[in-house]
Amino acid sequence: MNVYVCILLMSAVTYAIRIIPMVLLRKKITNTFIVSFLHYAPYVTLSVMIFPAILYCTSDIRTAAVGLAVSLVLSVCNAGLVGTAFVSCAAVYLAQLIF
Amino acid sequence: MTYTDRKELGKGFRDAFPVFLGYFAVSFTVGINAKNAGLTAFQASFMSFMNTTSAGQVAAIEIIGSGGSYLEILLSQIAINLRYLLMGAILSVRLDPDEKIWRRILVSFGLTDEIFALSSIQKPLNPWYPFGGWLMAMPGWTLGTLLGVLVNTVMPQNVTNALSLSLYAMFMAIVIPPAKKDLKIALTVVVSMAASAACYYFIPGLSAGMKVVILTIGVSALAAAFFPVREAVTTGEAKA
Repeated sequence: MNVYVCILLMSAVTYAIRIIPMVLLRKKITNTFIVSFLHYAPYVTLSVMIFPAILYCTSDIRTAAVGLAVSLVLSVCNAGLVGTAFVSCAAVYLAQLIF
Repeated sequence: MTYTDRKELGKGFRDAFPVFLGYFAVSFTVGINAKNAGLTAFQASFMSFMNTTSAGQVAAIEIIGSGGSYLEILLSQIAINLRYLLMGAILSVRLDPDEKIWRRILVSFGLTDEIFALSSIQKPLNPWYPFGGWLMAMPGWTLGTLLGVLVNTVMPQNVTNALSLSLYAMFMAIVIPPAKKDLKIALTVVVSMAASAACYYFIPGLSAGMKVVILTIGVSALAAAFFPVREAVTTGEAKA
């Protein structure tokens, strides 16, 4: 296999998947079920990606739990995307020094 | 580009800064995998530039390293990246139906888990927003991959750990505030996390990408059936 052919093939497939819905789905949707489905879908996608993966993204479940707790508190307090990301990041870093 | 377009491009660019840092740290590992599979620094970073998809690249690198076939590459990319089809559909209906095709395709660049996350809370969605996010995040991903190959060591583990968690923290900051205001969203979030955990512990063979696709369809359908929203979400916040 040629590596460049592989890379271009990967890119073609991945971008085809990314472009198809943008080009084909252009009508305003009025069906209540589909509107509702698309309303909830982002929350489902993100929730599924967050948990339980967040517990295993550091090498120690205890530091991950600290990060989870801190990010939960900050999100509840509406600390914003960047604030939540950075403070949770710092919390995990510090927790690693302790554990 | 109108004034609004430029503003949204800049906003997407700035919002994606934590993504830049997270990608930079995580893609070191992709670079190391690539080097071990025999790819050059240019090939590895070219791959990152052309794809910006972590799981897809890791799978492809493994296939290249083990001397697999083009068919395997093709099938692995479809299976792993199928979730982008769903994410694309979610964002596509948020755009103005009259939006020009080339502008809609700007959104395609922003179809990574993290930029999708940022874009999913933009109502209405301007296509330059996700493109701005990609302009910030993609260099982090490509540069991290390049350095991973060249340096051939991971970033210090404690730095990678902290930055990986920051991406999940960003997801939390996107999901929790709307859940606080809307009990139906809160319930959807809890059910999704519980279902995801159940899949993780009881169906270990299910890949993360497939899990996202199956659960997004399943749980969103349940939520739509039990808690229908009447107003279209294309232009504004849906009203129950």
